[in-house]
Amino acid sequence: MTLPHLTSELAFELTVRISMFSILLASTEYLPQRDQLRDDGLMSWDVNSARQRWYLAPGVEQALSAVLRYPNVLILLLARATLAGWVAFSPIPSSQQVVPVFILTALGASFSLRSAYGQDGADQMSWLFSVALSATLLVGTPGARLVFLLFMAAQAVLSYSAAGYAKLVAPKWRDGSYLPAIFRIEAYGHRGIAEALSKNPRLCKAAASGLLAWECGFPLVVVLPLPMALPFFLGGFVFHVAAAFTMGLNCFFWSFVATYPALYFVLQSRGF
Amino acid sequence: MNFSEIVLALCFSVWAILTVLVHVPRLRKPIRTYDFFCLVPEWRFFAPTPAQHDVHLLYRDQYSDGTLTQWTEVAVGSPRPLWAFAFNVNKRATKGLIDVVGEFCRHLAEGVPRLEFSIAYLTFLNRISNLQRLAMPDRTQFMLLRTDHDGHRKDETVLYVSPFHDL
Repeated sequence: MTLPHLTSELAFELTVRISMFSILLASTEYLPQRDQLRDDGLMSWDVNSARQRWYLAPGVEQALSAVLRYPNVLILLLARATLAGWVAFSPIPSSQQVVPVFILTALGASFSLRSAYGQDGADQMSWLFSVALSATLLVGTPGARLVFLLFMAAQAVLSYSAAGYAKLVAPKWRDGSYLPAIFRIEAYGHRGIAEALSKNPRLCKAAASGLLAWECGFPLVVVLPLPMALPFFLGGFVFHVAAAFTMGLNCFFWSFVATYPALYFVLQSRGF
Repeated sequence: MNFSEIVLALCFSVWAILTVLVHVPRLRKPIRTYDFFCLVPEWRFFAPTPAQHDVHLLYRDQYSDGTLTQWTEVAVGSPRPLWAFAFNVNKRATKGLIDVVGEFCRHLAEGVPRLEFSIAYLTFLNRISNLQRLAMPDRTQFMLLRTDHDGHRKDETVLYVSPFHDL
């Protein structure tokens, strides 16, 4: 079987465009729940503006409030979504999108000062991607884009392996009993799956063992020949699709799968 | 490689090394202290201890004649719709409440002085003070409740009850 060949340009385009789609999705998801961003909401700027002393420095307070106060923050989110959508679907190559990416990163930085409440690992990956991409486009050379792909590939490997080894120390992850417990909660759960898992401890243990083996074994992609590394990519797709359908963690799929073209390119570049 | 590419590679290398080091418990705090823009990620995916309970914010009011209202839950988010796998508007509010309660409980466990001036406390107080009411009460207080699900049984634990605050 001949595996598809990914050029550095295509890997860069795919990584950037899928990540941008994730940012577009994440930004627009705030808008229907904008009540939480109001001054009386859980992510109130009125309250969070007191989080850091330097937020209240003369000049800084007015500048931050102008951008982050409700309803102005909705304009910020709309602008972020528009720019992310533009880079994701634009006919212009991503390597030439310096201005939109810089503005998008500045908007992301401003929004991250507002409140950390409600953010998750997908936002973390998107934020890391934005800053790394801005630095890459600032240098603006093909070599810089290769360094970016290497960095995103490294973060993909680190993310899964760190999560795997953190789980491995917990006995309830190893015996699978955390799985039905997670699915029982209303925030991320799924009643049907929780009941099925509760009735079948063997299934829990098998599922948890599979998850741990996949996460902890993920660094093996670095040394395995490319065809043998592909099941780890497939494991990632299955994991993120399952998390999206059963737990509503939709943005995780886009922000983490965006790193796969970078990882594939890096593995392919080894020549085996 | 030209000079700017070498600088970029060095910066990304340091960033990747910090991503590894932040997972070492002893090094987490010093890295977090100087990571103003949260650039160093912590990859956990429900590890090592995932959330196994739901949290709830409740409030009750007291009127000028001393009458107390029933505890009422503040609605945060709504049930997850079928299309949440593609577009999930609910998760920010739900995760937001989990984050504020988590931060508040860490303050409680650490015995943070002047808890009522913490951002988490003020977030709860701000939220319940601004709720729409038919008649304006004199004072209000909030309660944080944890629901543990064990099969079909739900165990509720009171995490914190605030004193009354004038409105």
